[in-house]
Amino acid sequence: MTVSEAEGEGAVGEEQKREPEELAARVAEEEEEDADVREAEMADTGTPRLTREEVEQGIARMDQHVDRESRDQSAGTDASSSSGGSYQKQFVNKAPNEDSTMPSWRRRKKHMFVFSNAGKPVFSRYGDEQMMSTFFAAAQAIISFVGDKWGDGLLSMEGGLRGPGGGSPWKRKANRDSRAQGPPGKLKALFLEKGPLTFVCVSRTDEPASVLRHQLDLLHSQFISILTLGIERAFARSASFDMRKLLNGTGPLLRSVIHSGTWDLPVVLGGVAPLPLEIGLRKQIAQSLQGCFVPDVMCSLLFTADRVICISKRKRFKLNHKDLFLFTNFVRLNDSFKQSESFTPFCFPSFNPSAFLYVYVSYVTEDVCLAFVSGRADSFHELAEAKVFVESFLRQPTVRTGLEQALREDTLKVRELPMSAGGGFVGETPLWHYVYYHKGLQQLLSPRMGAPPLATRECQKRVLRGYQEMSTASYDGMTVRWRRSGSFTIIACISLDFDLYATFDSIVDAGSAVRICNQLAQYIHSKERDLLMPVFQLKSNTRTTAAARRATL
Amino acid sequence: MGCANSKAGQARQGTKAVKGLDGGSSASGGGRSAAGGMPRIKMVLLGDSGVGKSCLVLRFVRGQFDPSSKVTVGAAFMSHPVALPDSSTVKFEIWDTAGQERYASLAPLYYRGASAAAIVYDITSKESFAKAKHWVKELQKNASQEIVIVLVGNKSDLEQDRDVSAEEAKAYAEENGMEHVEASAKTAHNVSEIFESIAAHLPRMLNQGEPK
Ligand SMILES: Nc1nc2c(ncn2[C@@H]2O[C@H](COP(=O)(O)OP(=O)(O)OP(=O)(O)O)[C@@H](O)[C@H]2O)c(=O)[nH]1
Ligand SMILES: [Mg+2]
Repeated sequence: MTVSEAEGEGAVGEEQKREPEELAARVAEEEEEDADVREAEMADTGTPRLTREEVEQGIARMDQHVDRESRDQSAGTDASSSSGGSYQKQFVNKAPNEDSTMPSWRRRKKHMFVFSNAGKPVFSRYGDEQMMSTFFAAAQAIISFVGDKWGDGLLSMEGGLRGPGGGSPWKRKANRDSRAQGPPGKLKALFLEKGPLTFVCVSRTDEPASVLRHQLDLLHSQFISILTLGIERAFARSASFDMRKLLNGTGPLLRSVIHSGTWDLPVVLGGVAPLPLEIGLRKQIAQSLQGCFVPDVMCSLLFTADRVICISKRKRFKLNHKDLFLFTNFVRLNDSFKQSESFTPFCFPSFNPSAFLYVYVSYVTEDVCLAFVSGRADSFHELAEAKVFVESFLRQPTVRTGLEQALREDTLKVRELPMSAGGGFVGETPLWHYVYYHKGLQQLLSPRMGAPPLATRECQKRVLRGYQEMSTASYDGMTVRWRRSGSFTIIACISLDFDLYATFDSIVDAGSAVRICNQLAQYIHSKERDLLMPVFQLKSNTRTTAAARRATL
Repeated sequence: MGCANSKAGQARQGTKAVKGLDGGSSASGGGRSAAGGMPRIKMVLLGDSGVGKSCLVLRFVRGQFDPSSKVTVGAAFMSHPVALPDSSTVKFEIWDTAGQERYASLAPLYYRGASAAAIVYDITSKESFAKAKHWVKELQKNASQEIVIVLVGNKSDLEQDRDVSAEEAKAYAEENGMEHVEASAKTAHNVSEIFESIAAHLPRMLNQGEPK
């Protein structure tokens, strides 16, 4: 059975009508075409200066919110350990034998389902979707009951359903993000209709509907990325089209994307996490990525499991952070990429949802992965040659040691910061964690979680949800947001060019928190060059081909 | 299904849409000689997901067996030099394709221009044998006339769970002019024989396929 008519070749010529926001600062594109390696100019961002009054005012207002706030005290369902080994294995169906009649299934905090408009189950985060046809039929019935009333394909409901077996009817609520939340465990259901598929989220996590919607959107993009919009045509041809066959084996990928909606900062805040790297070295690496010209290469990327090292791309290839996440997550999730060079079709949904591009993927070291995105299905061998070139470049002693050091040392660690900016060992400093989000580049800098004092998963999740909440809720336009939550305090400073989110212990006073935030912002700003990642432009006609280059070596 | 419309793909065979990965110029699929290098034999593995294609290749190329399943995405490429009985050496360029349904329509990219194909099934799964037959038909219809096909029944170590008899498979292979081998990536039983049986056909292929 076939789904998509899309061919790589068609894809390339086709210019996107929609212009997704671009990862690179637009400045880069308007520069002259001459420079060998071009870099996005980093906007000169001022540092935020907060006054004590602002903060205190913020605290007072935030405390009102906190009163209404409900905390998630029950044991986390996301307790999967991230102990080394396969990332993929974390996302096998945790409850393959559950079905919707079981209490254990009903207790799960965030369900996501997908079914076709014919009511056929397509995917369920937990349980075996095949065993739950009655549940899916009921969901389908709800939708068709209110179907004519929902305008933008989104239906949001809230109910007081608690615990297993509860069956109180859901009340339909205004389809707007409301920050006022009900009692703990209050059930929210979101239905998002996308062409022939309906995406459903049933959650008692207390995340606002807008956030859940964002997560459903991402899941939808992941579907597109696997199958392209071609699925819609397949459904148009036959409503009973069985999509599950085509999705065979993608369960872990889909589950990992749901997981990332809570756990990956780039998804939570909407950005890219670059690997801090000295700018000179980053430029050299970009040059090596561009050193072998292969026709129709649209983008070259070098990245690790959680950070991007370098991107060199053509101007017309629009790569937004969502597509970049879907791609790096896809590579990270499939262990088979670690075994050998691979060549696979991949659809970048924001760039062109109806076509596949072809991607060459190969790990150049144990942790560093190289990918070339090409519009041509027959470019493998040329790309493999280009990889040999990049690999040998990366093996040069100075390059290798520089890169290894950057990979090994997390320069963003709280411990590595100057003392005035909150640096210090656990217990010495009230600062636990922070995120610096550069708006122009849509990049974020943040130390990895996992070390004390943010050691437990439950604690990390609360901090992440705190960041998310602070970034999404409007807070009446306040530029300083403050929130005490049990054992910690989160402060967010929103400025024109960047946002700073910082987590402190619970006893920090506003004055020192403000001082630290100011210093921290100033410190990071002063180091932006070697922390943030310019996106380099790949040009078509000035490069030598791999073969020519070898001849001249 | 999948990535490109398989029907459209078939209709457009030979046109630019379904070029082989080597540029599609050598439809006859003989061993190409790299400038000054050893002759290269392009080979493709086809078969249902989970039958053990990747395990067979890894056993052959690296002498390893890793029982944890790593589902192939798209197609994986590996090359491996093999010494022939006449003491010359050829380089196997092996495309290990993904068996999952959504990648099926990509297969022509990999078998086009291939000199040899191993169609793999799992001796404990009748379904995978049916799938293998499907691949045989597709290759007969669409691949080069000279392509050497070996039918491989993998997981021969699981004799107790056997679901496809050796006789049935052998008879089918003979009918279709293919070699048949039962092998096990786990125990390494007969794995090199798969490649040797291909190599046995090589002198003929190499002569036919000499420089273009
Ligand atoms: N007992 C036994 N198990 C095997 C053998 N070969 C492979 N397996 C198992 O079969 C499973 C699938 O093997 P793979 O090599 O990944 O299968 P594949 O054909 O490459 O599958 P796709 O990549 O999805 O097309 C693995 O879990 C292996 O452990 C074998 O010879 N004996
Ligand atoms: Mg495989």
